[in-house]
Amino acid sequence: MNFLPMIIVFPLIMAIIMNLLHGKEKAVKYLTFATAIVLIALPFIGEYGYYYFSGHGVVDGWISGIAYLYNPAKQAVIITLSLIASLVLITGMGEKLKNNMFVTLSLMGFASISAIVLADDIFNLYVFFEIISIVQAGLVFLSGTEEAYKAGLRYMIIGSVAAALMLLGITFLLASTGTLNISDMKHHLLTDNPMVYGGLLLLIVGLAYGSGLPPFHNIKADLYARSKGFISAMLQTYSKFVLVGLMLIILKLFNGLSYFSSAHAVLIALGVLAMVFGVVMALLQSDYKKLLAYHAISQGGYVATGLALGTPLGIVAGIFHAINHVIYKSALFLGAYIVSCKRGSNLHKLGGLLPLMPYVAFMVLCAKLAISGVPPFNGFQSKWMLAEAAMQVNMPEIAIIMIIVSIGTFVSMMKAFYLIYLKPVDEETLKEYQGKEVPKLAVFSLFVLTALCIIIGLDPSLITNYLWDYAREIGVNYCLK
Amino acid sequence: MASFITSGLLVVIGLYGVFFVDNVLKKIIALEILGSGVNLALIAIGYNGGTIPIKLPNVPLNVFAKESAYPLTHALVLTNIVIEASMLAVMLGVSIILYKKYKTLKGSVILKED
Amino acid sequence: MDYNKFQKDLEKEGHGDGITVGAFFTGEFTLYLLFIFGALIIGRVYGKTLMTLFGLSALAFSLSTFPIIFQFKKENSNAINYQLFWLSVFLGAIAFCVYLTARW
Repeated sequence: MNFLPMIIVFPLIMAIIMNLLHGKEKAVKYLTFATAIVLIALPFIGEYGYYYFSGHGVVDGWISGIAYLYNPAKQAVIITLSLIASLVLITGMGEKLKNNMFVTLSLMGFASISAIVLADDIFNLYVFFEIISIVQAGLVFLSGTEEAYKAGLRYMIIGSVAAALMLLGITFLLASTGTLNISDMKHHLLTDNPMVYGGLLLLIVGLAYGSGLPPFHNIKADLYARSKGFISAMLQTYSKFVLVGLMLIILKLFNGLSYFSSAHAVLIALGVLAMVFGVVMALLQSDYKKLLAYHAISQGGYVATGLALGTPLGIVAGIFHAINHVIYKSALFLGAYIVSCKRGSNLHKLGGLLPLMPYVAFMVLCAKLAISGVPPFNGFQSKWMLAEAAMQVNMPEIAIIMIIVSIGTFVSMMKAFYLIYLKPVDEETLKEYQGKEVPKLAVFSLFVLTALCIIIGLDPSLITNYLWDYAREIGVNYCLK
Repeated sequence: MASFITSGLLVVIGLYGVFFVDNVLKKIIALEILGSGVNLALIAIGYNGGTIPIKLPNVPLNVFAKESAYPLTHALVLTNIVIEASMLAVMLGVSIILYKKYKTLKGSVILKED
Repeated sequence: MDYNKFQKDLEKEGHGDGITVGAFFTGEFTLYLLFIFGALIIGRVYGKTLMTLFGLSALAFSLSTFPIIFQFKKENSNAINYQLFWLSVFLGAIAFCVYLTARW
């Protein structure tokens, strides 16, 4: 018996149960803790290989039903996802207000993201792609401010356009191939026709929307910035893994085909633009959470560039960077949450927090060095692999842009560190700081994530060993003249 | 063929409405039109002159495959209608909240830069 | 490229301290470097000297309207009309690029 669908079914069932427990705060708290523990075990219970839901496999050339594909690369992604999800749930236990709605939505998001990563049929992919956009808007609405409602409404209006267009693209692919199963569809796509081009084009629109590549980077960053710190950690994890899942599907369908070349260039260009626009906008911000939100876009650009290169090394580097990125960016968002418990997140009003919480400052500094790509941390390993992948296909310009963006990242991160922790403040502010508690559970989560940053930084093969097989399967080696 | 032309028209009208009409409620109506266009296109590619795609227990699978319309598109459209309805419900609710605050539905006012 | 003039522009928004001005400058130069290396790689891939020259002249034009960073910030606002405008431009641009290779 293969328990693979439990990864999706268990969180959905728990989400429904949590919804029924409205008002019983104690029960919700214990159940949340139990769920957070179980989530970590989920990725290990499935078997590798194809899984057809309720046994509906290939019937007379018709492929019906939901299909999943599980392999070590997807396992690595889901392990990271479940780790972040359980840490965020544990952090959220410290908050009192609207606790069970937050748990419900996060679990629904967890189920949707694992379905998108595992999916081997586009129908399933589309359904969960829509659910995740409702979940993200809902998580933003939880913070209850007017800006949050505006950000959510913007996201949903533009998102409905993009998702409807993506469904149109799926329609085109279905019309030209007659199937929605990805492994089966690949055999029908060898020759090109206008329908296939249209499908590819509209899938790219969906990809850009789901992962916050330009031109969707502003609404996505707005979404992260308006929600609470630990919820933003969850939201950016979702977006990164939507990017990984959808990009792997596009590569699996089209990589290596002769007519893919221009779409390939479009994908690389989208990645590079996301990288640069994200970091430039981050340099201009005066709000700490918005700064981090634009960095999430920028690092998403790195992931997209690495995956879009389409070589085995590029794919490994892309997924590896996605995993590293969600770890250190979640740590940074948790740091922002701890700071905002003291005094908001406006950089020009903060300052002088170093003597009050030196351990938190040290851990946040570690995460900041990791995001800028400084050697002993995990960010360095994956950025190095990405630059190597860009050099391997003979595009040194992209490697140079990556390094320039790293410099911009370092500058804005150090600016934020100076303005929050080092800038001198007067006595009254210090007294105001001391009156407010630091959330202990958030510090615990921050510690776990920082430790992971260092461990992966010292031994990257811990993760990359999982990724190589699948990357060799869908990657194609080539070299630009 | 007529259904494809209709669905194309609906998609274009929907996109026009979303991009050019400066009223949040009208934008949401346009989104619904866009979604209907996509649904119609999905139904139209699945229709091959066959019967409704409901498999009765006494009909063997290969006969069903020959006689009925393509069932996958119907499943996709049904799911899409449900998801779209819930998206629209959330969007309408939020626009009511914003209307109460600003007393207007102009997109350039209630969703301006902040 | 006058630092003092730049700082005056920023002081109007109330963020005239040194570290913010430095960050704005970094952003400005990152954009220029994107244009330079983007023009290089596009010219190299398509093998057209004219394209590179065109890109470099666009760079020169943007340098002459220094600073472009405020304009960039304005275009990246989260007002819905700006967003929808750039979404429509994006749809047109990638449709053009993807259909460029079509042979029928």
